Amino acid sequence: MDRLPSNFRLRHGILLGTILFAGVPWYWTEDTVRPFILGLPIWAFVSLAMSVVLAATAAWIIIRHWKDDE
Amino acid sequence: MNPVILLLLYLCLLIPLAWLGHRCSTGRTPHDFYIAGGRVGFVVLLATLFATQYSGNTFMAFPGKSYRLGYAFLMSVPFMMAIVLCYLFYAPSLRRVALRFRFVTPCDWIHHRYQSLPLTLTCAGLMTWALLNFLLAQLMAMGHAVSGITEGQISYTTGVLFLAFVVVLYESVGGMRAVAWTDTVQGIMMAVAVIFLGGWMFTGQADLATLPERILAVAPEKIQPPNWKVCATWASSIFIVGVGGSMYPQAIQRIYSAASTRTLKRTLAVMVFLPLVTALFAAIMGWMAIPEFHSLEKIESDKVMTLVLAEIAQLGPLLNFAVLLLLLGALAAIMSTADSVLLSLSSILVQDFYAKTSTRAVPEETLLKYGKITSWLLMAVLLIFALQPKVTLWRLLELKFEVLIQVAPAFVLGFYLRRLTAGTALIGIAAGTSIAMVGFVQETKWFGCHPGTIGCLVNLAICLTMCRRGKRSS
Repeated sequence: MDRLPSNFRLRHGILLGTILFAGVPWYWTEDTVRPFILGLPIWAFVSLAMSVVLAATAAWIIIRHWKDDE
Repeated sequence: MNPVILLLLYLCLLIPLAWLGHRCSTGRTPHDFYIAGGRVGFVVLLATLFATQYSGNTFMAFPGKSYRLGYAFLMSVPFMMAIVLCYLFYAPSLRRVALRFRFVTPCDWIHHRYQSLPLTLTCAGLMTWALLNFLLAQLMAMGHAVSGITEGQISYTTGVLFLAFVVVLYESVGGMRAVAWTDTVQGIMMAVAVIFLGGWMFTGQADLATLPERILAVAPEKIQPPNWKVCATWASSIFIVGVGGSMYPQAIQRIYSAASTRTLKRTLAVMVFLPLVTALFAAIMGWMAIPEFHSLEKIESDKVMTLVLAEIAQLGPLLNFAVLLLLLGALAAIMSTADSVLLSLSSILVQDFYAKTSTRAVPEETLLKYGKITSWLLMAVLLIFALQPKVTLWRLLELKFEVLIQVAPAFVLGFYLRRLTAGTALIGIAAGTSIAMVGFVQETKWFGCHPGTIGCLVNLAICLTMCRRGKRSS
């Protein structure tokens, strides 16, 4: 690659990709429904929690690592 | 309150904003009309991006899909977030170059980078296809929303025709300013409605805590963890919506229109959290319908949101008003997306197809005039199709992304790979689009993945491989 825009690095992409991947519920067995947390089955709750982590990480990257170069 | 009066009050609010947008324009140039002169501040940018990104699909198609798929439609939260994540790969660099060369359309970047008219026109063609599809979906959703709000007093056909007229009127009068300001009003309406009804649901009134038990009793397959195929669709949806959504021409034009990079950064940092409210809310609406309405047909299930809201509205006058507000918010979301798409479409058709192929320099005022005429013509043609809806709204959405996503490798890798040529990018686009089209005609997913995703990965592989070869041979 010739260059990456601003201070956004490949490691940020890998971090975001990992969180996204962890949010896909591929590692649960079909009968894992209970317990219900906040009106969600456990697997859905974990996926939603991963989405919260994803949003927080992305916001941190945008604010801290996107060079304000105007 | 009579829903028809409330609807008319809302529509009356939009026209002065269009006039104000027209009055505030500083010059009769495409850059001022389509990009608002690059002076959109944080609040308006956030509202317009929010209102543009959350559309008829969110309020009409998402609950329908959520009803059909069950809790697995929680995938809508990360896939809407993925749009903002994908901006990170190109928005910082694009903004720098767009400011320097006063870009108006997304294909201005393609043309600037590759200096190839065939590639520019191919990308513009794919974007036009996707936008036509998207606008058609909004027109259809408008008809359903108006019919729902007025409880059938205004028919689907009348709703589509009347609102299409309002949208094209304020879009062609005020350009990006009118669109952004009306989006702000519409965004606030959507936010108020979602917060109000969301608050009602989450304070326990909707009995959300027992919802999983009720679903488990009638449709256990909709609450169980998804099988590998649905998980593949989940991952594929993140890819296709993330990449495709970040290629929305109207959203790219908002990157150009931000008053400063700081404004854009703050806006995107907030935007990334919004699916936790909007997409989740739409998904819950679909889940709430599962125990209440059994075995709806596919086309019928697109109206699931209306059915759930009708039930809530019967619970009291305050909730009745909240439902009305939400339906109006949904209509606002649809209209705000439609106006942005229409503005973007007319800019692509005139700035890319006409201006870039013209043998002589076309005056900016002429381009602007043609752009406005194009908006009216486009709307007239699409209305013919909107009045005969045959496929579900979700299918229209998928068709849009399958095509739009193929522009991404040329667009994004253009910032990273100096050796990437127009020829290579065209081969990649041809291969990716062909694969997407074959899959679409077959009406199937391959191993749970959207054909557009596989097409885009092939497209990406072609670009990367041929660049590497070029590097070795040189």
